[in-house]
Amino acid sequence: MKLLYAFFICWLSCSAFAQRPLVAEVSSHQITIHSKFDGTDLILFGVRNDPGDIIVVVRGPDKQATIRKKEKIYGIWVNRKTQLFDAIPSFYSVASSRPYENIRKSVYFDALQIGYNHAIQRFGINNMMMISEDDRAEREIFARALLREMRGLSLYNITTQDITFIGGGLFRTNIHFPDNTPTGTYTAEVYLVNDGEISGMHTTPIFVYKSGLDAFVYDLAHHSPILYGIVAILMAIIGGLLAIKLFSKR
Amino acid sequence: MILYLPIAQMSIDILALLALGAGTGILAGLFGVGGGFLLTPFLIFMGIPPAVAVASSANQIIASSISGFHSHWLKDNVDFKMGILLLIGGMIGSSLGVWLFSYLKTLGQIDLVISLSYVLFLSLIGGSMMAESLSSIAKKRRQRQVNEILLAADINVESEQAFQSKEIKIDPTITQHKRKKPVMSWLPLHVTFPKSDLEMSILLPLGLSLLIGILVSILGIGGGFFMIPAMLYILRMPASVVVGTSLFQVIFVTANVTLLHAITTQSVDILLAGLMLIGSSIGAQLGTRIGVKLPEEIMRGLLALIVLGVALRLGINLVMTPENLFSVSLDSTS
Repeated sequence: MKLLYAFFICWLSCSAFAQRPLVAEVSSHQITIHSKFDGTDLILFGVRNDPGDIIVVVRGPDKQATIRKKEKIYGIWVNRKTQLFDAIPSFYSVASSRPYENIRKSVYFDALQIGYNHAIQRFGINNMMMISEDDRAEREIFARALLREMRGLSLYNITTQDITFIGGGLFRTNIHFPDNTPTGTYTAEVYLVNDGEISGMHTTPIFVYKSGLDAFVYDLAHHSPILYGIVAILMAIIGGLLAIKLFSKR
Repeated sequence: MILYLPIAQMSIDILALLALGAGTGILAGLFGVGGGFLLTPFLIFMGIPPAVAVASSANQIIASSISGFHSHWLKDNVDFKMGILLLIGGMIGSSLGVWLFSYLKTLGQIDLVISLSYVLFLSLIGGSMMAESLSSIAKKRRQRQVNEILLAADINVESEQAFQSKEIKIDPTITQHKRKKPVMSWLPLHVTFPKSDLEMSILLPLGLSLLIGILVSILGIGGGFFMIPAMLYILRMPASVVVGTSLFQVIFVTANVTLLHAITTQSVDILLAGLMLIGSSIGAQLGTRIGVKLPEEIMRGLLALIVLGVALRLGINLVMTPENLFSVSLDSTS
């Protein structure tokens, strides 16, 4: 790890990069989920050459989210109302050098989905105009619930003031990935915000994939389900025959 | 020891899972039941998504019913002709069931339907088992009292008992005569079943196994719990071939359920099924070796208590105000 540090400091202080307002890099571009995966942390380093606040946003691949609300019917809690969000980030983590509330927001924050409350886009392009005031209010309730749910699943998080300045414009932050981290291509976005203006931005990818047996099982189940089903049956048959062999001899 | 389950997409304690498998296996060994009807609810209690719990249980039941079937086959306790009919019905029913399952999943109601059906059928089975056990305990007690009175009156108990058992011995011959008569004779397509010494319309076993097949694929069980009473009381098959024949068809029906779940819902977790299989086969061996000396009716009563307890726990979950009214499901964007 120390070596890595040294490498980054050396690399970031190179004159070629010194002219850019913002440069950043993560300690690893790959996260492999294996059978004993219990979450992991990546370190993001960066250098800012201009004054301003740093906001780091890490987001996972988009997923379609269906959120349902339970209602009591004849004494039993039943899923009733449903809202569909076409594309929400499956993972969202935001860190800032000052409490997010204290940073003067840019008008682009909503569109760029910077900040926990902006993580989920309420309306798609096609349904923006059509819906009524009541529907909008309902949509907002469900969007807030979705944010809460995703946070409950530890897929969304806010870590304010978790960006530490080491000196000379060099900063670092930890990004935590929980055990249920979805696979896919992530982006780590670093923004330099100065008085409501985004004065610098740097994006770098992170690839999350499953490795080993789990990846194999998952891929087989999703890409060749018929084969997977047959394998599952065969394994059960072998298991059953093995049980006969093992236990009937005694 | 933590293991990541690739299909359930969550980490789980291997030891807890093995213990659960062993626990249901012990019950299975002790009471001679499949145990699937307890395994699935407990997996759900552990936080495994209900769809994964159901589909993976079905996968595991293939293995356990193969080893069960083997011993009945050796004893020649299988009516293959009836078994194949039940198998055809079960295949159709379970295919319908998996289709219904995936439809309910898209509606977001599958968890509710699984829980509700479990509450319904566990309380039905638990209740009837409890009633049966209580009545046989009462009967035994009465018998003992009668014996004591007879002893006190210095009447020969042995001859009295011999007389009673002779009376019981008459019963099977009477019912055997009844068996020759076709069940529900108004149905067409009659066929004889030499092994079970029966004649009936093929529509009856087909229809029954179709209905049970639907339940099998929604509940993730072998279906013996429904199939065996139905074979005994509706088809009036002799008790000796009932278990073997039921296990024969369960193998194929659960294989069908596994394959269809793998294709439509992608919720069969091989790792989960494998661990449960290891746990339950160890448990079943332990269960048969423990050799509990409790009388059968008390054992049955205890099992009924467990079944009713699980039903109650699931029922409370349905009625109690949930901590969280919202639930989210994420799908990859297509």
